[in-house]
Amino acid sequence: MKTVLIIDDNPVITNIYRGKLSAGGLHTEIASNGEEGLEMVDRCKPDVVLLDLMLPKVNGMDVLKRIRARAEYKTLPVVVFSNSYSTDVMQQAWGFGATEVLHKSSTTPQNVVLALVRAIANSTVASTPAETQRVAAEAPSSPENQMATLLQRLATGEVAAASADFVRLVRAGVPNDLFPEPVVKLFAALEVLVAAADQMTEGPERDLFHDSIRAVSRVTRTLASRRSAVEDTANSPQSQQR
Amino acid sequence: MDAPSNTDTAVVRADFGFWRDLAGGDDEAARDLLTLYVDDTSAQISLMISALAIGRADQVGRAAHACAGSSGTCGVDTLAELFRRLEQQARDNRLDELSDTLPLVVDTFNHVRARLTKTVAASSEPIQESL
Repeated sequence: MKTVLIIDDNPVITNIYRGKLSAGGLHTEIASNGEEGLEMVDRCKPDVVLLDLMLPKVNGMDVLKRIRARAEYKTLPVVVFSNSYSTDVMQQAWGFGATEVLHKSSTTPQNVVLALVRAIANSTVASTPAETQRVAAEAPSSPENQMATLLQRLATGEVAAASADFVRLVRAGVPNDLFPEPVVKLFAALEVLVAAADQMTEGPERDLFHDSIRAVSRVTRTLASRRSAVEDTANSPQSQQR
Repeated sequence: MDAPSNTDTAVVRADFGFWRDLAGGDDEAARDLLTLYVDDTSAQISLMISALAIGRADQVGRAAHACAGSSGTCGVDTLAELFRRLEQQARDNRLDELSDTLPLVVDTFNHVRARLTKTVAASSEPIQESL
């Protein structure tokens, strides 16, 4: 049975995820502060870590850095699950090697479980972005797999193909909460941008156009940082050896 | 029994099925989760009140951050929004505004607690054949 280590000091959150993961056939271990979390990574040898950022004793960002500093845990999937509203904090998490970054208020428990299962599956069968993409392409095309493909295309700059994936998923009636927030914001902003450009004259339309450009710029910076994280992983000496 | 008003449903997801699903599909686990959410939030609010009394905005912020996360996950959106407001005010060390927002949080939480307590009680009652 695969083991998930949850590092979170909030008993309500850990209670919910212990139940959800158990129902999904996963064993759960819980650490209620960063120091205990680091000890348990060594002791329990988890298959994936679900990590909060605001933690007593050692904060989550330091836990992530210390995990990634150890050669044996370079590829251990770490899903950051934060309540932070700062884009900088989320980008930092990507930069320090998070496998996935989820926002507590905009992610349903079901999607957290899916992200954990996906992280375990990817770490088991694929260790480079190219292999991850191949596995996603070969797997049955569930909405989750299609979403993984869409994100991979965005991360590698295949915007046109990602747009087509997005339209297909929306038409297939995939629930909105399956789309990561940056993707939804990006495509919503692009839609407004195109509509505004078509009708642009002097006045409010031009303001809307400029607001939309700023929104797209913010979201693409987030996605660019994600792309850098993917490229860093691909270019790391460990990946090169594989 | 009073029918729930629109205001009630805006404040809290009080249907037991939602909590059962959140707890992994088990009734007993759902009741435990409801009780844990109410008790933990109540304790954190008490901590916020004590911290505000001695001017420790940082402690208010940490407790509000924790409650925003659990309230959001548990679908108590109105309360989650208030906790996020508290967290922001604490981050900016705006003690006057914290003093205004905290009583509103207490009122809203009392309302939520009453609704959830009814939900727990109703979940233990025998199912009625007709309404």
